[in-house]
Amino acid sequence: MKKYTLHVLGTHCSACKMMIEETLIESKKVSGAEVNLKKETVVIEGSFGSPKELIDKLNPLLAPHKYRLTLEKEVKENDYTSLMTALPIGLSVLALFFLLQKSGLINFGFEGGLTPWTALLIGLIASVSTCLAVVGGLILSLSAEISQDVSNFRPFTFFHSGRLIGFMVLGGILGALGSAIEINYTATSVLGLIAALVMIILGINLIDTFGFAKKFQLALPKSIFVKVIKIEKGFFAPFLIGAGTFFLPCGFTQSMQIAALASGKWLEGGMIMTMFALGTLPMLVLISFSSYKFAHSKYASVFFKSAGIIVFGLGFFAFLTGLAGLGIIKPLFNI
Amino acid sequence: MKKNIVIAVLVSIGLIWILTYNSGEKNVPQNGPSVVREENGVQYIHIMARAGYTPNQIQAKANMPTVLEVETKGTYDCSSSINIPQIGYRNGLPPTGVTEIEIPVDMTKDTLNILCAMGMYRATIDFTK
Repeated sequence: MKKYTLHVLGTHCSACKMMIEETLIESKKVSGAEVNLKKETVVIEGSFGSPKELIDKLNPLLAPHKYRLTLEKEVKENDYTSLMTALPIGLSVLALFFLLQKSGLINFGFEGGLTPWTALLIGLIASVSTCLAVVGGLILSLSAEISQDVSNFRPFTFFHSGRLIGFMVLGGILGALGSAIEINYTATSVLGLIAALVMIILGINLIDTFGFAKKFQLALPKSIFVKVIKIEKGFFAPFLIGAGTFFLPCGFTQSMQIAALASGKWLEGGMIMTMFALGTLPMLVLISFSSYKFAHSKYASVFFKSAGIIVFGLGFFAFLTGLAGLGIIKPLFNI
Repeated sequence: MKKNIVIAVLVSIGLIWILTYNSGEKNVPQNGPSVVREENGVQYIHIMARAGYTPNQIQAKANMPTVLEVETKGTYDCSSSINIPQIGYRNGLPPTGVTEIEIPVDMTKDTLNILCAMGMYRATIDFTK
């Protein structure tokens, strides 16, 4: 029995740690394995002739999970390369997004009044509008962040069903309460600022998956979100976050909420909000599904960095407009 | 590698231009009679709220009782949640209709920014003497 300390690449989540340890212990020659997430090392206890033999025996076991043991710490030389590829991609997506807003292509009026079908259409438009800046950006960052840790699409399914059911129930409540309550715009704006800050931090984290950001303890998303989300078996956390998007500031969502309030009937209020959420669904599913796919492809590194740049840009934009909306700074943009 | 940096820099410049370029200024008449009018010593400023505010650059008289008339026509976007931080006015406009917002006389000087709830749409009233 001997102890070996080896380096392992790609350990950045507690799920990875467990996965690696469980995989290693499956080998008969290993009697103990412990991963150190911070140092990216693993201490293996077992009977091997030499560290070289250990590597040759154990690496094939880890290969299906995309991990590899090495004697020397490998420098992630492709980090810089992927950032350089991600930079033009991320910035171009941002530019195209804002260009679409300016183009007037998605500026519609609905003079015929609000029916469930127009609510659906408004949802569709909302999902490619500035609403996307906050809700879509948050979904992109959370999806990218979670995709690093999970190996199936379940949390995303829970998230999207949480959003649909949340909108249905909360819309129904708005309709039932009617004019008895008022939407608090200041509270929504403050919530928007918090969402923007979360996006900025998640964005920085994604750009620099495990370097600079880790040094400066920008660990908020890992410690709060991922722990809350409880990864693959979690149901409530993604569901609740999905339902919680009801409160995120988005001009379209707010006017739908006002319409639900004005309807004065729970059935109508619920209907309006459900149809609106259904309208936003295709785009949001596309965002989370493609994040998931990219995160598990060979382009993962470029994807995380591009997503980070996009999320950071949208968060920064939402933060500045949010401050302007609260009257704290002078408005800078006019989209 | 260098090519990517060049592309990134160019795209960034484009992005800043898109974000700060005020498209409304060009195609809006400086001050048509339909925008600012006076009735019985009260100044009325009429703007349209739909996918932003039109016009978004308005010149009006300073130190005068002023009423801002915001018209909506099937508006369900952010501009229907109007927000005037300087006078602390935040409200949801009806999808279709005209909403009158009184602007206190002592606020009718310099500039007044009209934003939507999230702050991405903007109109500016310049109060001149």
